[in-house]
Amino acid sequence: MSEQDYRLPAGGRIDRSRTLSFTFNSRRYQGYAGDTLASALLANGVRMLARSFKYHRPRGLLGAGVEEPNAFVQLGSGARQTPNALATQIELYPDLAAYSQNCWPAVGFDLGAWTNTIAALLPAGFYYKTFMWPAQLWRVYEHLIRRAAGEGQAPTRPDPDRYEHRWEQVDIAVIGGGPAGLAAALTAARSGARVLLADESSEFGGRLLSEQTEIDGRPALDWVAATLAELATFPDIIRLPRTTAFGYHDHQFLTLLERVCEHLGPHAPPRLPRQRLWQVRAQQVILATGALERPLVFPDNDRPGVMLASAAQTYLNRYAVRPGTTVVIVTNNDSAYPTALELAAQGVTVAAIADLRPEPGGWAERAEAEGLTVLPAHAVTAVQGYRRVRGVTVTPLHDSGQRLGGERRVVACDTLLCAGGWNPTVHLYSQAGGKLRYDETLACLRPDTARPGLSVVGAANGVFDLASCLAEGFAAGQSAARLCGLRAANRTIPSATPTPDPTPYPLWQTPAGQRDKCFVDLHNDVTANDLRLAVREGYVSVEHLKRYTTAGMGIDQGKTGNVNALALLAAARGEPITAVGTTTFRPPYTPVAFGAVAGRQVGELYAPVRKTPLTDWHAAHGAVFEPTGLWRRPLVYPHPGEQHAAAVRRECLAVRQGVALLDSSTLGKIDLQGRDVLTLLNRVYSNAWDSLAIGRCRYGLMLGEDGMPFDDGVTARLGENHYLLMTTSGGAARVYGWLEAWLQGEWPDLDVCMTSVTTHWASLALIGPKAREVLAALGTDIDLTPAAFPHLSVRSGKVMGIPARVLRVSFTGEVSYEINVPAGYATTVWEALMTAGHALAITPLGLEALDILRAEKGYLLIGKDTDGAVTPHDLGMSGLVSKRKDFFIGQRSLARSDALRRDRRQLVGLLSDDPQAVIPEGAYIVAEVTSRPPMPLIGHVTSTCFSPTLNRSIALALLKNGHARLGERVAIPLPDKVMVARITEPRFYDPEGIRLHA
Amino acid sequence: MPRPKSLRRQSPLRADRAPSANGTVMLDDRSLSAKFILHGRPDDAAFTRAVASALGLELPGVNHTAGSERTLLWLAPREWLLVAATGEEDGMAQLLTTAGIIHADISDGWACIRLSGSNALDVLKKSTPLHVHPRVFLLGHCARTRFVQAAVLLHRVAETTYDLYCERSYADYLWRWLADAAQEFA
Repeated sequence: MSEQDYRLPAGGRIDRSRTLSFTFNSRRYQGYAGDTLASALLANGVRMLARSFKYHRPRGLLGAGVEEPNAFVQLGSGARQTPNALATQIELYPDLAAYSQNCWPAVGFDLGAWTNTIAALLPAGFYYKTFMWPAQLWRVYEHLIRRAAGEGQAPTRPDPDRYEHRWEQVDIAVIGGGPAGLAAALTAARSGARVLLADESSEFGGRLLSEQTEIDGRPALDWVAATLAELATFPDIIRLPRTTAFGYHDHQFLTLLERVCEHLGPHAPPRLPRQRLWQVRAQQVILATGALERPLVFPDNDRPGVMLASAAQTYLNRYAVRPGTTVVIVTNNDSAYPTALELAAQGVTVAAIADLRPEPGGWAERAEAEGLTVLPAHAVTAVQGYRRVRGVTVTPLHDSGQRLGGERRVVACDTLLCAGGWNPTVHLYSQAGGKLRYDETLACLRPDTARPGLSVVGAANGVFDLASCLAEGFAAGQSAARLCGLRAANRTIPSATPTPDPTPYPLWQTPAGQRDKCFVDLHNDVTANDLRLAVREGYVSVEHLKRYTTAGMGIDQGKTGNVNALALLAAARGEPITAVGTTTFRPPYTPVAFGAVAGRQVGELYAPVRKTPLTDWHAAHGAVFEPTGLWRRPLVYPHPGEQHAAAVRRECLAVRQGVALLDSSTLGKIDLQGRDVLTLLNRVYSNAWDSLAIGRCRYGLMLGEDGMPFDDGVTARLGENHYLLMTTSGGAARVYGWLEAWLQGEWPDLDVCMTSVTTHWASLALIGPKAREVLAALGTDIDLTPAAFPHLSVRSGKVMGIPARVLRVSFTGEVSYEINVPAGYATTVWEALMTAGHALAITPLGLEALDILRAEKGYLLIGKDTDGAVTPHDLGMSGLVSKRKDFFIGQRSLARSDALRRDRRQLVGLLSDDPQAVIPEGAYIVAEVTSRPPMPLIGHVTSTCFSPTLNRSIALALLKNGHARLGERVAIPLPDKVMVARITEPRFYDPEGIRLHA
Repeated sequence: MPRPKSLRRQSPLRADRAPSANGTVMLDDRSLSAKFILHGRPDDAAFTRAVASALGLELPGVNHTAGSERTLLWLAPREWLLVAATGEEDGMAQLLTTAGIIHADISDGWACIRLSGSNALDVLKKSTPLHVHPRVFLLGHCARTRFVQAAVLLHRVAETTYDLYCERSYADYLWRWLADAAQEFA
């Protein structure tokens, strides 16, 4: 085969000066810039592009655009490969490489094709019937089915391309850049509106690119060019070619996918994204999404060479490619006739036009006048050829198409074009909630009721005449502009070539035999017989039918097959099509790459990492980090060569015996000022706050309305009406929102001013018996003597001359100074503390040691030792539930009978009989150990560790009726042994708190 | 309370991070300015008078700002952000206290990145669903918005210049995001 045998010598919208070389299934071909992969392959005479999904039948091109159900290919290789790319939408670029899908080892010799020979065993819903038993084997079946079913291969390596997001707000969004869309956009722009115009193709013009029509007596594409040129003069118009609007969501929100550089392949500039996801809000949306031609349903209507007439017209006029050498056309309406005439004019033999209509009318007469053979009331009843069409059998129709009879004739041809009428592209309209009505004349679903903010124009609205499309577009542009509060520009509607009448002859399927394969959904290999079988089996609802037969599912979502399927379902049910309804249209209209959804929120930008002013110091000093919300906090600071556990132990002992320094900057800090702060505190905490003196701090439990603590922390009273409320690190935003909600929603009368100062103050906690010595060495004007500055108090002063708030609070049971300085000074103070404490072997303290230290003291970690179903009483913290207050959030819930149950799970300590064995965290405590589960559960271990201070293992647990069982022993069954532990108070170290007050 | 001059306040953005200046998108760290949250009711005459006499500024309304050397930015129905020059932290705190204005110092709590250049708007449109069209988000307008995954106060200070305020802990993330977004225009 020589190169591009099927290319016309002239014409088309391709750039013949730029020859592009590409490979398909590793074979090299030539095409031109402006080609799609499909048009270039067709120009080279490649007919078989794919194998079908289920039966592995050879498939060629049915369509020329988004409607194509067969030609899904694997595009590219390595990390840059795209599965399920549509050959009709892939623009050719130099050295493009694509491969067929659904076949192995090759599209021409596919071992999977044996499935076609056992097709009778693979009816609709076959895997629901076949693979149900035995259930365990599904795991095996699943892989086999997956391999047999094919589809593309997901790339296994990270995607090297960039994807961007963009938000946009416009007055008017016009989706579809055909004649109606262009007219609408032009009028809207002339009216002063900010307009976004998007079209999925590389060029604007829509069907005009495929036809030989005229507007105002000149080629229609001249009008397109003039319109685009005028649109370019408006500064605020966004024109997006290669952009598919794939979703129409609530509140006029559209999602569009722009293929920015995909047409350049790997040659794209690296700074540009491959694709850009647009999220657009438009006051008015005009849908000019056009229509897709419908195939006809007859035996073997899937052979390579069977093509939509509209697709052939596109290949001929837009890409200058002959779809074949000799064609037969089968049609049920007038729209195929211009294609027939244009093909004939380009030297393609049009062997016959089989028109289903008994009286085809004027266009047929015109074709006959041009010397073409028109066969009225004839249908295609068989297609010869397996890998490509070699001929067709045409047979006369009788009784309104219900019966075949008379002289069959076989017409030799290599291409069969079919024209079955048009389906308006109503996907976006339906996504927006628009209702469809079935048009009996046009035999299609078209938009029915108008929706606010939305208009549908042109073929998408079931209007096919070019002049009418233009008129609708202009009118919609004007109306949308007016609804945006603009003065609509005047319009002059151009004249245009009359469009052939697309009213089809209503014959949904050519009469055929039981064994004939008349495909309705080519993409999913669903035949007319499959649909009838499903109806016989009781799947009479259109939604059930879709799921059972898979018609209309998958990547192509039934763009060509759906209306035919509805009509056949209606016929099988013996009801009109209107009674059947349609399946729900859901986004996306066409597949969207995950990369586009993720955008640039990948890699190190996947999620924010919140940094304290000391995070870089921690990293530079060997910290192992642990995520805490969006923060990364040091878990432990191992010395070079030091084991993790040894480092944790060293940090623990430093706190108990020497001094350590903890970055607690992540703790939430809320500044509260105003006359009613005290009232607020009394309401949001379960304990009482009236007696808190200026300069003192108090621990509080914050309960939800269910009476369960959800956060805890210390609040310091800084002044008469000035408090600093501290929260857990992870709970800061939640607590702030909680307080805001109560203040704004329930207590707007309270005079409280809240400011989050979490990030303003860096908190450096200096902890241990030698902490005071280090702080004193650093230099401060605060009197550090225990009498002047006791535990649970706050002092404002200077540390190193820097304004500071120092709090004596402790989460370890040791003397602790939490030095708060403005974050900009944090590193200076931290480093000075490390220097000042050097002689005392000061060590930075990580979270793992902190967790051990607080467990030794039985200090609570909300969310670890609590699970949202424990009350303060369960935690042994009844002292923090005020009995004198009239109200606090959660108060009533604590009086519920369930909250007063005696056998509630309560926080206790556990000491294992073997002091060296650590009980695993989360381990279950059972009432009785039996040989195998289930065993009656009475609790679980919440915190557990080996305590270096006590040189034994300790644990905290929630245990049924635990407070009454102190001293008893319980069993903890583990996979390999049963551990026994004694129930204790949840305080293992310095229970009197002597060290704390030192 | 005066601060020792020998100790330098550090920005959350490392000093060695060069401003990204490719001509069409520029980033500058302006985190060290003095910043305060002011609380009050706009219908409280005593409060508005106190602000006017202490700062010489009228309280701006919803999504508006006032002033240039000292700027007041509307945050919420009863909250404003006051931004003043670096070094004014202590003096401003004193001034506000004397004037009886309820305030909280967040000079070190919030970072500020100045985004400017002819493609600055494109960078914004990658990052926030806020309507930032120059006909809508006018000079001197401000708004709090979700900016990728951070909360940002956006202030349009000049034709193509925007100040982005965020919590200090998000500054590094925000800078990385902006620098990445600017790559398209390099």
